[in-house]
Amino acid sequence: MSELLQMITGPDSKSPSSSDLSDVDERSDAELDALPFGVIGLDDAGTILRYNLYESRLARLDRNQVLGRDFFTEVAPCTRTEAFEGRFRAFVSGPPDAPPVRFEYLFDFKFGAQEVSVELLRAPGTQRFYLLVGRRKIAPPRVDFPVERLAALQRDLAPDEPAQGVLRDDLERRFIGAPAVLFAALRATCDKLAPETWELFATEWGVQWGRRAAVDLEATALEAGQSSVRDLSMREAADRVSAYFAERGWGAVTFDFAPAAEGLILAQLHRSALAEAAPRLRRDAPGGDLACHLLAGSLAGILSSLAGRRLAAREVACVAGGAPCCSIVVVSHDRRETVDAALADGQRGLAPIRLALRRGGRASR
Amino acid sequence: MNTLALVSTRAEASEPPPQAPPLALERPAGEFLNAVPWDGVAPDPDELDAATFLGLL
Repeated sequence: MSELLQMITGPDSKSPSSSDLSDVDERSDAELDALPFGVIGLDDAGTILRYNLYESRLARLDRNQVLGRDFFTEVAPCTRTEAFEGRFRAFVSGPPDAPPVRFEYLFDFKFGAQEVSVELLRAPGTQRFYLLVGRRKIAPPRVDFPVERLAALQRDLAPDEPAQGVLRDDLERRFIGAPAVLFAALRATCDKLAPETWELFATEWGVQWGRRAAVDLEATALEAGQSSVRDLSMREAADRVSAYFAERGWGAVTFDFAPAAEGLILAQLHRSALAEAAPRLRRDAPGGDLACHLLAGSLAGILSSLAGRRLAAREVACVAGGAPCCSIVVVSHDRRETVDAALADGQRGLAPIRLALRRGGRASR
Repeated sequence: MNTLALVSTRAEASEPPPQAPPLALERPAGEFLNAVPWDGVAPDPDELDAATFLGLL
């Protein structure tokens, strides 16, 4: 996975390349969802087989509504041209070992036109084909483009969703109005069935969430006319990450980059929804005074994408354990065990963890 | 607002503020994060007791 992270977050990450993704057909949906460019899998007739998160986010279409549909006629009629569909049909009927085809195109949506670079490749030995779609620029809708050939909207594919109990935000992402008590119920379930798994489960859940959040932040930057979050100032990028959590009600995240000189970043979290939902009775249990593993993992996922290397984050003090605010340290993945050992030894707070890291010296790689 | 200022908890109030490059947060995020010494830094003998420091040598 670290190789994937390196690949997706490198300097050229926004230029999809089949040389990096020759095994795209073997990659899991979770891996494709972490990529900062669109991936669309088609059969030889043009039926959509796979559709990753970035494509879903920029096309504003729910993956569940596009899978099984004809890409050219139902989802993206703007591609019914010789320059796009023609290339696809020729490639499908061409030699199985033909090299990938690359071309530039303009996707026309009702909400805007998107300049894209497309790479078309065949999954070796199959009749499955992949479009790797890098976004270059987003512009207002073309006024002279035929309305009937604009790409579909979510409500075109699935009308009357509100009557079906489906909620969407203004980017057509499905969301659930989840009360904080849902997380208390989840934690209570884990405490009842497998309490020793909670920290590992919640942290990894957070990492997976963070990778997807990074994709969302990248898409948002592109829509704002910026090339990448990595190109924003560290201050603005951090503010975007803080806003991501605050706007969703998780609490107020503030980063402190002063310790960066010694290889760690501190995040403090006030009014953590998780800390406030944590069961009070578990404070005396081992690790029961820490409740924000999910948020720590998500910060690790986001910052790993920004940093282009694998990072780990651990909560070192929590409101659930009586601290005035929740504190999370972000370190390299190689140094996480030093933090874990200090936490397992009962140490809490930034100062003892920093001392443990200093005593640990440089990580051996 | 995210700053370079260390926001200490009461228990950590005595911790001296670490040094960071001025205006570092105005650098591009990718460049800033690439410059972080993620592998850690060599132990400072002034901060460790003699036994610990010598044990690292």
